[in-house]
Amino acid sequence: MEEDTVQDYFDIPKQEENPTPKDFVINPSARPERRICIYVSRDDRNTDIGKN
Amino acid sequence: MSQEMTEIQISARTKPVMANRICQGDIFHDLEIVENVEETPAGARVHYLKFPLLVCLNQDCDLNSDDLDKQLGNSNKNCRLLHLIVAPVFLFDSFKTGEHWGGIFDVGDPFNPKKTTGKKLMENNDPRYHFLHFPEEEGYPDLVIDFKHFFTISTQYIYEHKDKRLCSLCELYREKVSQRFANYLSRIGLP
Repeated sequence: MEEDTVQDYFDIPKQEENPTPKDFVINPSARPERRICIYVSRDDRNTDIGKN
Repeated sequence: MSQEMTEIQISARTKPVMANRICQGDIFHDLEIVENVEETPAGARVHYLKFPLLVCLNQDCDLNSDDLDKQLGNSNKNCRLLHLIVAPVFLFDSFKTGEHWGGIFDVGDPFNPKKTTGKKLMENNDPRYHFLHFPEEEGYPDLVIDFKHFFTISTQYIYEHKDKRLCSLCELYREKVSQRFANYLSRIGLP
């Protein structure tokens, strides 16, 4: 099995960089939320669409 | 800034620019995690958890290998990452009230930063939490990572929502988070 070498790790192509956004404001009242969605399948739910 | 705030050690710094790929220590806002999927007569019921803030905890070399292999059009090595590890990040102000989990968990005990337990957490001596105090000029509020609750999220999904990346922690600071996370997971409770 071929494994990563040190060269693989350090041979990093030049990365496109993205400025850190400064305009997003964290909502102080935001909390984790739970939501539930029900998806209805049109097909027979027992259909095996493949292993991959 | 109050005198108390000036005594808090800087425990987080962010990069002025972020790499194109996702890195260890990247903090995202408003991402959803699939908590559970169940099959019902009505269809597939999918339970989602949406977090205001999440931090990516994978080793950066693994994230790099994943990205490098994807850049090779005809490669699909097992260095690719199907899922990434993320942990919730809370605003310290809401964490102090015990209400930071919203309706997902009962309201916890209020947290007093002036007490010994509070100082322990803010000095990053509480194994379960990681306190992030940024330089004032960066403009981020104090944040807390809870290592007890971590999730995995589809790598494809998180890349599709890369525009929700808030910032990237600098190397030493993100490695401190990673080291403490690993220590927390491998902690041993002696009787």
